[in-house]
Amino acid sequence: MTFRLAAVLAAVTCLTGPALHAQTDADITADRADLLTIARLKYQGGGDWYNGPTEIPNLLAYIRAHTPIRTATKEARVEILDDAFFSYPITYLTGHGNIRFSDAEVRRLRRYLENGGFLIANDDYGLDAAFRREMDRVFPGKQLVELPPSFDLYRKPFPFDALPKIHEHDGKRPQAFGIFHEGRLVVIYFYESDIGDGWDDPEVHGDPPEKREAALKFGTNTVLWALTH
Amino acid sequence: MNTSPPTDPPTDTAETRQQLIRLLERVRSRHTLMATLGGGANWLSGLVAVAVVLIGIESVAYLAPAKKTVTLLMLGLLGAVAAFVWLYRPLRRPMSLEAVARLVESAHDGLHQHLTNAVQLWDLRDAPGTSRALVDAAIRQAYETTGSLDFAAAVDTGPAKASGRRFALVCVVGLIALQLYPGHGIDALARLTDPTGRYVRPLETRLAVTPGDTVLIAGDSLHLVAEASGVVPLDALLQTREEGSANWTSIDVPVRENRAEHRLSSVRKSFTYRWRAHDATSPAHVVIARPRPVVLSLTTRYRYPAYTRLPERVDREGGDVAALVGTAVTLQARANRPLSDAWLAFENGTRVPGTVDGDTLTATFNVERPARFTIRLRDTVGVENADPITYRVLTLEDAPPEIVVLRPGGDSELGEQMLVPLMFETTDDFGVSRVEIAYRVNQDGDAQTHPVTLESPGAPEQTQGVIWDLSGANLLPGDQVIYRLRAYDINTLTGPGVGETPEFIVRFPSLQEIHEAATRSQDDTVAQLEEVAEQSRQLQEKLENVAREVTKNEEATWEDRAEIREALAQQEALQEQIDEGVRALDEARQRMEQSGLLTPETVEKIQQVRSLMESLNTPELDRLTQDLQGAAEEIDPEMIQEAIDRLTSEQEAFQENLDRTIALLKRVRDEQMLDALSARLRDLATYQRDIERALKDGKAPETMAERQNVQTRESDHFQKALDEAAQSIDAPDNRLAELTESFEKASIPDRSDQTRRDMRAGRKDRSQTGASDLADDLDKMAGALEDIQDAYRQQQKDELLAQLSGLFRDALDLSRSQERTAERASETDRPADPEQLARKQTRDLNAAARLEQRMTDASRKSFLVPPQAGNGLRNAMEQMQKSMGQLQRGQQNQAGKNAREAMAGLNGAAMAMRDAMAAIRAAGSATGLDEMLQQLAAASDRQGDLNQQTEGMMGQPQPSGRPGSQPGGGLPQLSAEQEAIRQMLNDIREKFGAQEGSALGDLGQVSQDMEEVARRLGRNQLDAPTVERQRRILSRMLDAQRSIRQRGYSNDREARTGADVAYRGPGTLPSDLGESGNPLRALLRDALRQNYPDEYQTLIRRYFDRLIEDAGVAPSQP
Repeated sequence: MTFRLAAVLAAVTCLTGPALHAQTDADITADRADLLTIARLKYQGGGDWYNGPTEIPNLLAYIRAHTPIRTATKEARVEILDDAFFSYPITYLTGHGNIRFSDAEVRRLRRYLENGGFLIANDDYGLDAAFRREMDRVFPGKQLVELPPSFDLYRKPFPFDALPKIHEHDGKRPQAFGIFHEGRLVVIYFYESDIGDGWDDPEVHGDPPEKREAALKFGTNTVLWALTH
Repeated sequence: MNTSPPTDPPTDTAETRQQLIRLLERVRSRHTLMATLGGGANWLSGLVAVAVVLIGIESVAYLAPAKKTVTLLMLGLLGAVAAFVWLYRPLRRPMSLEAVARLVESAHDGLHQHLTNAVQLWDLRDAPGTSRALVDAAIRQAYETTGSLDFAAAVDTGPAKASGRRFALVCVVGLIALQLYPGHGIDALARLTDPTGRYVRPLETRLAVTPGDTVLIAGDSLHLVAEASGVVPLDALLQTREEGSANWTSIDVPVRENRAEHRLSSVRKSFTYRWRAHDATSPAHVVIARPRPVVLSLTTRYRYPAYTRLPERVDREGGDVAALVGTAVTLQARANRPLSDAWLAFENGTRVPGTVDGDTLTATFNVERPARFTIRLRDTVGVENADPITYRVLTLEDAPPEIVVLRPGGDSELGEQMLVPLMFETTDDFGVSRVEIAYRVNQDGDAQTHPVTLESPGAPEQTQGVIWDLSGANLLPGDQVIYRLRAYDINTLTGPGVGETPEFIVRFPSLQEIHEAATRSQDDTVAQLEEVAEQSRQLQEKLENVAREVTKNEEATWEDRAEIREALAQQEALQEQIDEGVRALDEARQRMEQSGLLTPETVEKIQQVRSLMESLNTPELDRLTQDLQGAAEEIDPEMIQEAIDRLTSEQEAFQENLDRTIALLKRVRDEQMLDALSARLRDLATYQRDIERALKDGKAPETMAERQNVQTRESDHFQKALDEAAQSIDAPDNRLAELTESFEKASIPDRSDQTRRDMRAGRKDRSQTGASDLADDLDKMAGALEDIQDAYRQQQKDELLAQLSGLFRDALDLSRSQERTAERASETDRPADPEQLARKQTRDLNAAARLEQRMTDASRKSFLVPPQAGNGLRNAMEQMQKSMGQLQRGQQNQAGKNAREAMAGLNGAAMAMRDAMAAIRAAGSATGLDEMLQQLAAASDRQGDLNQQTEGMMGQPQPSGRPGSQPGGGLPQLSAEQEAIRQMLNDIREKFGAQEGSALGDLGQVSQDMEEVARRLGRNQLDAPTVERQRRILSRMLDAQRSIRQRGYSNDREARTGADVAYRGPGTLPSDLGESGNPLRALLRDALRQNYPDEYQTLIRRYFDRLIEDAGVAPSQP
């Protein structure tokens, strides 16, 4: 009886809480299901999918602090074939090395993206060839098109004239590519920018604060775009 | 009046008397009348006379009010008396009847007092003693006596008349007097009528002043005139006084013809003036100088044309207007007084009306051309400003933009990709709207333009790079593209202004040209290095000589020090020459690489040579050079000797490396030549195939003739180059010479020329056949040359392997020999002959020296045989040397030990040879870099697998101390795997570390991490830090691969924060958003557009979805 009562009370609190209260520290540390989180995509192939463990938590914190979006404090981790995969509207893929999706993963990822999912991919250096290859499998024939600064994602809520370049890598200009499905951006891929490293704790790469700020702002733009389109 | 008595007396005396009395009374009335009239006339005469006199007096005397009052009062009193005497008294006291009677009796003789009696007796008629009758008789008698007389005549009218005449006379005189002095008299009369008024005596001089009080415009002139009358003096005084001042300022003005005149020019202020002349002073008149309206302040507001994006500018010290054409200029002028109207008057007659608000004018005009204008003001009383300032309108030019090509900044050549990387800088005062490349192909080509998408359209300054793709320009080798960059500014009003760069030429060189140039450059480099090597040797000798001299003389002479300084200068010069060689090599490589003349392997080799060349100038050499320089300044010969020894020792290494570099460079040059030939032949084949296809596609043969001509030319050049290569390159089985012969036999240039002629003649079939045959032959020969390339590489590899194999065997033989020496030297039962052993050691030592030389030779053939591989051998030689000496001294035990040490060194050398052989066998390119990367990749893969296994075991219970109890072997097994990977990594570091330096040096920490992970796993310690450490290991390994590969092409790269880079991509998304690339989707869209029923559409969609899905899961390309 006591357990039932507690469950009911918890459910009521969960349902009404967000409407009645501003987000509190207690709320955000709870990492409840009603809080937005970003799922880190675990992939096979040998690449370090787990690279930059502080990236997503920092980005979530920034979004929480600068937008009305209620975010969790932790990242989720998910594989494409996990049951929970479709529970996450936004997934994040990063690393330095190889990526390899199985056929089943290719099909499921495509279904995920075609049905409202959004993938943020960050080339942490060395990911490019593998990512392009796998995306070509996921969306054969679709091209990764460069997103120009005129694209609205660059504008709101933080305006940008260009994708921030966080790490030098090969010294090329940073590029944001996108894959569109029926007019909707479903994949955004950051190349030669390493925006993800800009989300890391400052001591990880020693990036200057303005670089980190720019990276977090652009990340916020990206997440907001994913949530609103 | 009837004053005569009736003729018949009344019967009654009384009556008679009464009649007489009446007659007398009538006379008396007449008399009274006459007296009154006369008195009145006299009084009036007196009055007039007095008045005239008084007026006269007043005219002259200007009596004071008191005097006037008294005089008038006295005269009034006198007049009153006179009036009493002359007017009142006759009336008040008329004559008695008796007097009247006597008057009548006096007028008429003969009356004898009858009338008097009659008057007097009547009163006595009743008096006693008076006879009544007598009285009556007297009365009658009187009546009768006077019966016919005219009593009226008794009244003398003469005085009255005389009075009247006098009065008339006086009046006349008075009138005359008045007539004589009309003003004066009237004035005097007027003054007299105002007895209390004070009047001043008129002056002698009278002044009539013009204009009197007046108003004028400040700045106008004023003509003042005073006309004098009366006494006219010779000059007059004009006195002026400014407003607010109490003092008069005087000006003498001569009086001419009764006029004094003075002209005041440009009256600015109001003032009061008066004239003085003789005794006259004119009244003060006020001249009001009304100021003209003037501009007190002027504010100019510039609203620049919108395209300039300049903010409004306000010039509060406005005046001349200087602005761009199209600028709206608003002038706001504040005047000194309220205005009724104002406008701007331009010199061309244009009038720009302004709006007036109080004293402020606001007028706006657009700047169109240079002009002049004035500001015209009219105040509320209609006064306009005079002589307004003329302001200028100056038009500023919107300067045309400037554009400068930063890169290439001169004429350049097209690379294989047909891309021209351009970097340009535009500057404009307001912004550049667009940039285009204006070009033509060859001098006679049509002018064309290629738009450049600006990253920041409208920016005033920008530097931008653009890749100009000329692949669609159908250029032929030898073609020139003459281009310039043209920038347009954002001036939409009078522009756009255009700026241009000078013309540049980008040339599409033939591969032959590039190859020849690069070869020349490399030949030069080799020659330069050889010269450096020679000079280096000489330098070394020189230093050694100096050292000997210093030792011999036990002091460093001035000449010695000078020699040292000279030698050091030469050393620096050598180092600079090497740097130049590095640059030349880089340039040659880049040029050939851009043109696709080099295979990646050759590029890699050139890169290695470059690294070697760079490494020639070691910091150690620099330091020692400086040390020697410092020592040369010292007196101490020992220091100099020591410094020279150290430097020459380092120079030996320098020399050795230099020789190796030259040898490798020569080998690379051959490979490079083969690469270039292969690329050129492949190009020839490809171009020929293109021509063939174009003809097949229906292109007119005539249009392809020029391209075929290029083919002819290129094939001719190629044939010569191939011939030269065949002579210099020792290709396996003389295959290069055979290919040369085949090429000649195939008569490619001749056939190509024939085909060109056919094309020009329009012979389509023959052209097509000729082109097709040529393409086939060229394809075949290109394939053959590629095979030769591979075979040549393989041959080199085999040769090297054979050489290394021999070295390996010989090293092992020597090792065994040392082992035997050691054993024999250590034998105590049958001690060996030390001399014999020493001789053997001498032989072995010589063999080792030869072996070292051969190893050095080998290291000059491959980067995989680093000079360090000979370190073991050198150690062995050192030990052998020691051993030999010990044997000679009879120290056999010690010699045995040293022989064993030598054996170890030889074993190490053998191992190095074996490793080098293994590496060469495994390496595709036999240079080592790919091999290293492959090994690192393999290690990374193993680490990745290990990480997955480790993570999979996280959270599972670990039976401590029971290795192998888990599927896959448990944690100890993972520990062993981690250790194995660590060994693998260390092997890689050991093998390649000397070549790749810091990149692999970074992996040192990784190795430590691996050790730690292996240790933890070995203790069944699996926790989050362990997993994290494993992940970090993998990340570093992956990153290292990238870094190393990158470093192979750029020695500058370091992982660091990126600088912001401006966006340079497409300005917009493609219209299809990248979704139309899939032909299946295009087909799907086409099918859906056919208006099938819904259910069919659903089926169609499913069908295509399935097709797309199947296509998507096709095995990916590795």
